[in-house]
Amino acid sequence: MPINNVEVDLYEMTSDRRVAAKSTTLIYQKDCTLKGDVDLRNPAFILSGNVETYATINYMYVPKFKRYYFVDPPRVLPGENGLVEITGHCDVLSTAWASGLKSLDAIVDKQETYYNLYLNDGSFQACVNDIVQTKEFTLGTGEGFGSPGYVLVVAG
Amino acid sequence: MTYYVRDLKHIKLKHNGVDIDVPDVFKSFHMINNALSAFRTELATTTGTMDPSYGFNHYNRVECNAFENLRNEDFTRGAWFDGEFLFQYLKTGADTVTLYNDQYGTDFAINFRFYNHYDTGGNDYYAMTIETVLGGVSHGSYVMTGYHGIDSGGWYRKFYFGVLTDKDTATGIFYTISVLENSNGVAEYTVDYGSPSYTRADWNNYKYQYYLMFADDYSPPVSNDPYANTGEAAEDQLQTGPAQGDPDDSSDVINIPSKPSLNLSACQMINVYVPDLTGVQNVASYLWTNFDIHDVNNTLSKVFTDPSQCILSLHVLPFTPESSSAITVTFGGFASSVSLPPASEQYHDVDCGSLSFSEYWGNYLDYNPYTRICLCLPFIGQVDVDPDEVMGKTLKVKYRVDVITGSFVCFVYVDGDKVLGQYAGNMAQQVPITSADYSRLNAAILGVAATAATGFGIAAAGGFSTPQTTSDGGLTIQGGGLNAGALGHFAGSVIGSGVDNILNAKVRVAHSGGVSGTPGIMGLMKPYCIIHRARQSVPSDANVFKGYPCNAKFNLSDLEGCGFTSVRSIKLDGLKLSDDELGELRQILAAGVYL
Repeated sequence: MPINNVEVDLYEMTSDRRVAAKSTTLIYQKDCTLKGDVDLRNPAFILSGNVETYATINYMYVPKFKRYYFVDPPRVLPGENGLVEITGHCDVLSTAWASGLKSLDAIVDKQETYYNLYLNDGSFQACVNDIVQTKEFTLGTGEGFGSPGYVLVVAG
Repeated sequence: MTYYVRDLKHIKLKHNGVDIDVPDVFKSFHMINNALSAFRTELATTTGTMDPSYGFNHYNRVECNAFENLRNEDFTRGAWFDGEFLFQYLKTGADTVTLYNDQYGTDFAINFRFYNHYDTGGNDYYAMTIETVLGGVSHGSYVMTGYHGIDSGGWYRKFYFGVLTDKDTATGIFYTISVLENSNGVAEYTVDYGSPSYTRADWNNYKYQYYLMFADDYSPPVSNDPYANTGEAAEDQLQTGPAQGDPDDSSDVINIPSKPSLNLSACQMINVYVPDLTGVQNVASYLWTNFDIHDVNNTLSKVFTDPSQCILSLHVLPFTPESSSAITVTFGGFASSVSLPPASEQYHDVDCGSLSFSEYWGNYLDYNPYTRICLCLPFIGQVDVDPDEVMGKTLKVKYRVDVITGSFVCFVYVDGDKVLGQYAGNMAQQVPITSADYSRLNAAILGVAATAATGFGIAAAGGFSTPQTTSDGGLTIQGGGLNAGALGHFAGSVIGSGVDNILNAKVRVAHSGGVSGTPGIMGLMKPYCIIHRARQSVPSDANVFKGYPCNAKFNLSDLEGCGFTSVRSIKLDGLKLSDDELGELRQILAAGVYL
């Protein structure tokens, strides 16, 4: 039995999927019908409208599920006039970021802004040809061996 | 609730608030047989009063609901504790002994208190009460008495105590079991006070309802495991709290020592002169002038003493030693016609300058083993310098030379005279006076050359070489190294471009052999360094795409807006996500996200 009237916020999202707080533009807020069994991680909704209407929608938020989702391109339901199906896959990163992840402590392995360049974690590469320098010692006044001299050691 | 046995090492005792030693009996292990079944049998309790003629007053109360989920195996490890030792502390009404687990403090404790003292028939009887303090679990004051002494029946009586705690809720559950030992020392724990033949029904309807067992470290059965009981168990190595290191960043300054105060020429067995070329020519002329019949003294001295035999050494040093005003040269005590300036010092220092080192990349590549520094020293050859010891500092070299022999010690040091190393050799160029001298000199030179041959060419593959000392006057020749098998890496196989891969495939080459002694004066007279630095290959803005090593704890909110972040470890508390989602989240964080 399909579940009707599930509010869904449909977005155009332009961020890399690895961004925690994604850059989104709300396009539609719709009451949708949940298709099939409830799957909080991969829900599918049925919407009224043409495929073109939802062609740029790639992200959604379902308040009832309290989750963000990546959205696949819409699909026209066969035999159904004016109905399309959209399928979402849970964006656990943004969902968690919005619900408390940012308050947690973590041991950070790599970071863009805060780092210790004296750690060698094997992530850097080097060329085979070393930089080779020859540096001579600098002598100050009175330093160095100077002129050679004889030494005569005599018994008695 | 499930109850488990706790480590005995956490059991602590206080007498009137002052720590006292936990007796060894705490640490004994005793298999408690059928304790659970015995305990359940005892759960149905009544209160009663013992016959006061025995000096007891006791009642008991058990909170049965705390013991519902006991399992027999929870009781299979424990120790009997002879409570009799408590009576040495419980002598007055003010005395209390507190038994607790130091992991939870005295919020979970047993308090043993002095109760009464009886003196009957010349025997001292001390009685005590037991009060249990259990946080979070309904508890009561279990009052029980015991006594110290021997009853009239000749039976020894002891009371046994232990501690059992719940690992999940940190609830301490205390069970005491009253045990009557017969004269054979057999504990009959299911039997009330009295002889084994007595039953509860025979004993005025009161019972001992307390089962108290000490937690002990579980001792595994003896097995054939060769590693069993061979030392400290891994669990004993656990700790809580921060690491207990004692970081000591201080460093001692190793200074160049003062010159030796002993001057060989002061003993007057020898004289040391510093002739110039004319002076040497004058000596030669003196040694090989013809006999003159008119110069009797001169002739006689040369007949009876060959002056050349008094010459111990004529050598050239790469510097002119300090000298004073010329004096007459004596050969074997005979004054010659030659005057030469005597040496005014035996030990002469030669400073050979300095070289400063600074980071090239500003990262780990500036240090050992990714940067290598080879120091080439006059009269010595090649020595390795550890970049970690000189980076950001100024490296200096000083030779301290014994003018008489030409031997020297070369000090390699950094700022503030911190000596990093010392190397010995000889820098005298011997002047052969006789044919014997010449033969010996050639032999020495050939010996140096033979030894030096091993120092040329390819030493071995490896990222770091180990110094080797020859017997040639302390000369050090660098050779050998780690991972000689890595030569195979060089023969056509693919070498990964990771820094460590490059390092292990590199071949070390020695830059000099033996240059001491006579040949040394023809060598380089100024130290120099050959520095090998890894050539890093890092794309622009690599930190944006993959981050740089961090290895620090952050609150993620502090990294908001700070870009790429990969998480090595995080405790995902408080997120209302399914277990699968949390697992996916952990993987995403480890791979790297943008906050």
